[in-house]
Amino acid sequence: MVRLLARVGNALFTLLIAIAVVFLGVRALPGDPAVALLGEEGDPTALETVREQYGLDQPVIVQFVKYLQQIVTGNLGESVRTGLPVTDVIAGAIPVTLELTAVSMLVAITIGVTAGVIAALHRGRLAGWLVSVAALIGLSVPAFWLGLMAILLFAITIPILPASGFVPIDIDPVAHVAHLVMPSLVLGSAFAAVIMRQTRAAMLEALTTDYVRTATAKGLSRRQVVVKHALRNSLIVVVTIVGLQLGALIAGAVVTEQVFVIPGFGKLMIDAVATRDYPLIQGVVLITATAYIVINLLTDLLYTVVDPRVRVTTGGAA
Amino acid sequence: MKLLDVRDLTVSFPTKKGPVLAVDGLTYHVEPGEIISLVGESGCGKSVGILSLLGLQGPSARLSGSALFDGRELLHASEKHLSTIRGKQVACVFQDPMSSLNPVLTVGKQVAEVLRRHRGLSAAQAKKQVINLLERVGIPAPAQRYANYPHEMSGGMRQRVMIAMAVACEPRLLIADEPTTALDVTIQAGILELLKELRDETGMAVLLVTHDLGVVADIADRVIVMYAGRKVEEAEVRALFADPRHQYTRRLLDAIPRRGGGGDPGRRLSGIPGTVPTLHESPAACSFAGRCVVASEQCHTAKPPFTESAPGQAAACWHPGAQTGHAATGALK
Repeated sequence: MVRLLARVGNALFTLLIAIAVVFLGVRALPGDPAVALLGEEGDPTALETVREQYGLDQPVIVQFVKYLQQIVTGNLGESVRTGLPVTDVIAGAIPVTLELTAVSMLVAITIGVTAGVIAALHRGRLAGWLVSVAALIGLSVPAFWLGLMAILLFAITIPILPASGFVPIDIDPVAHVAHLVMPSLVLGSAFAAVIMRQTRAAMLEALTTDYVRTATAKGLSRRQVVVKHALRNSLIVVVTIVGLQLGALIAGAVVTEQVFVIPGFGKLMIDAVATRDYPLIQGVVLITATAYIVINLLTDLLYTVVDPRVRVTTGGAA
Repeated sequence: MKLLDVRDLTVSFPTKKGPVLAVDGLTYHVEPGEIISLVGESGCGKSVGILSLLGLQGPSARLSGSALFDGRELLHASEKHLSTIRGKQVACVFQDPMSSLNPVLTVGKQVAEVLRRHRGLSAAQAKKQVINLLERVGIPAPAQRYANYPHEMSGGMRQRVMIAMAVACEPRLLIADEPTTALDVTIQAGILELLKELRDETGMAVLLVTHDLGVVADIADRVIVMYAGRKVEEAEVRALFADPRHQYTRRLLDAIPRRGGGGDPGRRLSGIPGTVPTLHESPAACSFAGRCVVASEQCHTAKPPFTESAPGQAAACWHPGAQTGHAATGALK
């Protein structure tokens, strides 16, 4: 419990540093936000008013403390472009991206772990070689190209899936799923390849361990030995990779959402940068940093579920 | 009826420099209820020789010869056939209890697996029986220990778990590959005692691999001494210690440190210079000749036949009677 609290405290401290970096980073960018808002030709008094309104005339440290106060109350300011609260804009986009990444990760884990086990069990044979080559292709092909090719093949040549766009689930559940198939396969493929390679390496190692020999010596079937004994131990590695890759997956979502025109967090980020919407950029980066930190924390905690050796013992051990 | 009848077992591993011969024409048998010990120094092929009986020697090994268990061939048997024998008829205890148990499963579940696989027990029935087994192998508070993970137990306790796992289905043969090597001496004695008790209770035979002659003297009925993949001597345990017939066995016994014993207190502990040779093919000579102090011309040019010197004692040595003693050791320095 103490260790858990220490980890959470650690995460909060990291978050504070992240916020400071984002805040200073945005301020360090060339150009005056007030000018960006009103244009080069802005009236000097109007510029002054805007600076006052956003507190830009105050020392950076004062601005930072005010910003922290804002964040704590859940207020990230308003989008300069639309005037909508940044929190609302982000809250609208996040579920879309979360769903896309979650489904993609599920696809990646299913394909990656299965392929990794097959590759390990068939090492040096045709099946193992084919899986490894497929993984190499999955790793090397950029998501945007794969996305475009998928659209060409499955939306235009063989029109079985919609080319792009997004339909909320409460409007049409079937169309909602149909719109998610291609993006999640495209986004998941590269990660499936990473997971496959890690699973294969971990499985190859696990299969030569003494405890796998013990399991075989017990008379368990090959399937039981592989799944219950070798794979279970290999999953410790896979959990780490999934945790590390989740962050990269969200980054990958930026490209995928752009290709498939999905109104998610990634598209929001690109749009915010394109329109120099500073409060929105700041909010988007802040949320991204938070997500990374939370994911890392969760990964740490997930270890203890998979690997009992990391679990905090509560006595009774000798 | 012989429980296990191994004839001319040869195991080799392909390497870049050609095949390495780990076991070279090994022949022995095990009677029901008997404790047989395979002794030899590291690298003499003793572990590989017994692991290959159950197909556990690793995928690259090449096997030839025959190993009949209860009249049925084990070598080259199908995985399916082997999986009905492993854990049920022939069970194993391995050298290192630290790495032989799965770190992510509770010890109780790992023992229960054997019972569920071979006896078809439900989880609840198996648990009950596992707790009895853990108690039988001397694990205190077995009901609590059931839910322990291996890392929460000491080495001796883990080895007891391994033994519980091995004897769960009352196998007719227990293969123990250096079961006490990784444990400290006081724990060793307890484990050996347990193996003897279990043999007496269930009538299972034990095939014990060790390099420790102390263990052999303690537990074995019959001893097979191995050198460089070959059997060089076989004898009842008393006969072996009283009158070894192979020069290698003689030197092994000389190398045991003795306390008191009326000997010269200042005498240097005798060793055997050199190491076990790595063989690429079966040599037409005594494989110990290169390290033997009484080796003659004949030892280097002809393989000694395995000849019986007394009922139940046989050795493959051209000079079975030659005394070496301490003078020879001194001469070697």
